[in-house]
Formats: sequence, C-alpha cells, structure tokens
Amino acid sequence: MNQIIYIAFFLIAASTITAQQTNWEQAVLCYQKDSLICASEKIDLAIKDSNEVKDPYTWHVRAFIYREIYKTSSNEQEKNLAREKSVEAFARSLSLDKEDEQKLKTNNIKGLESIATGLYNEGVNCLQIFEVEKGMEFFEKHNKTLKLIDENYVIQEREISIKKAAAAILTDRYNDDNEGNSDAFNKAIEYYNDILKIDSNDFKTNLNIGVLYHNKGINLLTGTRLDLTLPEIMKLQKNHVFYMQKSLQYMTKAYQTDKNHPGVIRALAGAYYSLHDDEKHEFYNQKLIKLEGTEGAE
Amino acid sequence: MARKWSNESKPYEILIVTRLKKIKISYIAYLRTILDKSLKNVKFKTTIILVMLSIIVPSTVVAQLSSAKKARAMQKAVYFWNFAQGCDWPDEHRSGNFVIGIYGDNELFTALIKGYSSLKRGSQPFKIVEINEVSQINGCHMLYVDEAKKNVLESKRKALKSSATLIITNQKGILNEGSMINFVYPTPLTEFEVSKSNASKSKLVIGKDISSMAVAVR
Repeated sequence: MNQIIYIAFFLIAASTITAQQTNWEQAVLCYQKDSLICASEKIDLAIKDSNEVKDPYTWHVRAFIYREIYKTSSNEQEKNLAREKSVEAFARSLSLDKEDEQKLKTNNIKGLESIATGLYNEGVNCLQIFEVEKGMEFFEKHNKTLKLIDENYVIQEREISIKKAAAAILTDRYNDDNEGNSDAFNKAIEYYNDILKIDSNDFKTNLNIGVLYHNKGINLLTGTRLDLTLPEIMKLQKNHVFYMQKSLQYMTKAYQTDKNHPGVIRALAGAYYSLHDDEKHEFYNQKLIKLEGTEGAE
Repeated sequence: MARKWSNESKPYEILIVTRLKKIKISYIAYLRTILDKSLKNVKFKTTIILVMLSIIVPSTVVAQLSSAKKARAMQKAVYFWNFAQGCDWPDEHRSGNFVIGIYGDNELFTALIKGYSSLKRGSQPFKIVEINEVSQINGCHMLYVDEAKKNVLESKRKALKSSATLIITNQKGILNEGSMINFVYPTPLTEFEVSKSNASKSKLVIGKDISSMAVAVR
C-alpha cells in the first residue's frame, strides 16, 4: 500500500516538474540527449509562447539547436534553412539581450562569427572549383551575418583575399573569351575596385586592374575587322584610348609602389606607345632594356 | 485579498526567476563548452586562397609592348583598307594585283598579310609586299614609308610619280616632301592629313570620304 502511495506521489511530482519546465528547457534536455528532432520541436513551440518568445535564452538555445542541425544535416536545403534559422535566432537573442544583462552577448557574437566563418569557407570552396557567382553569394551572406553583430563589422583581410581570387578567376574567364565574357571583365574590375577602396596602394590589384584595362584596349584593335569605315575606326580608337588611359591610371599607382617591376614598366611603355606619347614610351622602354636587356617582347 | 495576493506573488516571482537563472546559467555553461569546442574547428581558409591566387594571377599579367605595336598596326591596316577603297587610280592601274608595299614597318606588313590575303579591291586581289630594298618599290599602288626610310621619297621621286603610287607616311611635315597621306598624332588618336595636290601630280584622286576625315587637307 505504502509502495503504491509512493509511486503515485512520484508520478504526481514528476508531472508537476515537467509542467513547470518551459519549452526551451525541455528543448535543452532533448539537445543534451542528442535528439535534435525533439529539441527543434520544443524550441519551435517556445517561440510561439508569448512569454518565452521575449526571452533571449529561448532564442539563444534555438540558435544552438539549429546550428547543430545545420552542421549535421546532409540535405543541402535543410542545411541552409537551419543555418538561416540559427543566424536569425542568434541575432534575436543578441537584440533582446543588448545590454548583456543575461551574459549571452559574448556567446551570441561568437555563434554569429562562427556561422559567418562557415559561410566564408563555403565561398572559398566554391571558388576552388571556379564557381565565382555562388562563392560570392556565400561571401555576401557572410557579410550580412557579421553586420547583425555590428553594422560596421567588416573583416577586410577576408574581403581582400576572396575578391582577389574571384577577380583572378573572372579575369581568366575573360581572357578565354573576350567577347562572350564581357560581364566577367566588368565584375573583375568591380572586385578589384572594392579592394582598392580598402587599400588604394595594393600593388597586385593596381597591376592586375591595369593589365585588364590594357588588354581590353589592345583587344579592341587587334580583334577588329579590317573593313571598318573611317568613322567606325575613329570611334573604336576613342574606346581604345579610353582603356589605355584607364590602364595608365592604375599602372602609375603600381609603379609608385614598385619602380622596378618589369610587368608594370612593360605595360607603361605599351600604354604610352598606344597614346603616342613618344617621350614617356621611350623612358619606360629604356628602363625595361636596362632591367631585362630587351624591350617588351612577348 | 488583493493586497495579500500581491504580497505573496512578489517573492514567488523572484523565486521563479532565481531558479530559472540558475538553470539557465548551467545550460549556458554547457552550451558554451559546445560552442568553444566547435569554434576550434572553424578556421577561415586564407591559405587556400593564397595558394590558388599564386596559381591563377601570374597568367593575368600579360600586358606587352609588342601587343601595343600590333594594335597600332591593325589600326593602320583598317586605314589602308579605306584608302584603297576611297582613292582613284588611272585606268591602266586597275587590273592585275593591287600591290601594297610596306617599307620599314614589319608589324604593319604582318597585319596586312594576315588581314588582306583573301580580300580584293574590286576585281584586283591584294598583294602585300615587304620592301627591303629601294629597287622593290616600283609597281606599288600604295607604298607606306616609315619615318626611318623617308629618304627614299627623295631618291625615287621620279619613279614614284610615274607609277601612280599613293605614298603614305608617318612623319610630321613630310607632305612637303611628296607624301600624299601622312599619319599624325595631334591627340592620342591616330589621325591623318592629306595632300590632294601631291596625289594629283601622280594622277591619283583622293576621295571625299577620306579628305572629310583628315585633320588637314592641302
């Protein structure tokens, strides 16, 4: 009899304890038991609860649960959705706990940074297989995630690295087919200019953008039809001059950084030759001869 | 009753918050260990990008002076096409090959050979000749004389006049020495000036399409 009373008491006590637990607490218990399905169900209920939805802890736990789902899922769609939910939850927790009253701020920031890094890495993976557009989409998501922490949060080192790589791939694509890939040319220029906004003296970027413009100007003429009319060739020439002058602008900047780089000097000599500035062409040509013992031959 | 309820509820509320905080703090400590552990596995991949860049970037550095020379030669080749179409030669020079001689500009010769080999002026197929010696200039419909070879204009003046050769040059002030079309560079563009009077001395007519685009006409 005593035993029955004891069991009844235990069941009542247990059910009372369960009833007192919030959805997010139950979600954490599921999470601890590695049951992500249960955890996600409970935490989804938590954000529908009018009290729990205002609690930064609810969103914090939700962020971790969905982050784990994102990490463990093999389904691409499910993975992306879980990551988005996790980012949203970290951000909501961060905004609800702005003053760090509940000491969640550091972890929310770390969580967002970690997801941003994951996005960046996925972008890099795409670039490695030359999928520039997809890679840069990931990088944009990376930037948006960081901006949830702080509107001005930018990791310049990453921006420079990924845009240099993307621009290099696009340049290669443009070189393969000048006419068919004019979008690649424009996008490469855009990425290089983004880098120069961060560091206007970046030597390789100035050199590469200068080369892009130089080659664009040259290709206009070397790839032309011979039966153009005089007005047509005049118009083509004006475009050629425009690109050579643009090339000069960047090459001159690169030259200020390294006055003995043969590639830069060769490009300067070529640009001044194209623009009929014989004096400057000769200056750079002589410099090239001193450096390499020959003028800029291919 | 209402006041009593209020007095009772206050500590109860605090109790609940305290209990939740304790639980929360322990959960958060647990979550933090997971986060710290997982963050160690997330490193950003600069090294890979740099390796990739070192493979790709050198192939983009291809600005060459010789390319600029080729480009200018192509530009002139287009002009030559227009000069050939827009000038009139005497009847006796309107059969057989249409000969263009190039004296002192290998890039231009190469551009013309590549571009003109299958083209014709009316019924006359183009024949492009690289002039290496002064004796080769006879019989050209068009003759391009580079700056370095300009002396030929003086030494072969008579022969050139009788052969109805359109003389094209590349030097400031050379219209005075018998040139008929001269490339000039008052701006970064390649432009040209013409001497109709020099042309007419050789029974050649420089058409309107050409003279209207010239920077100067004599």
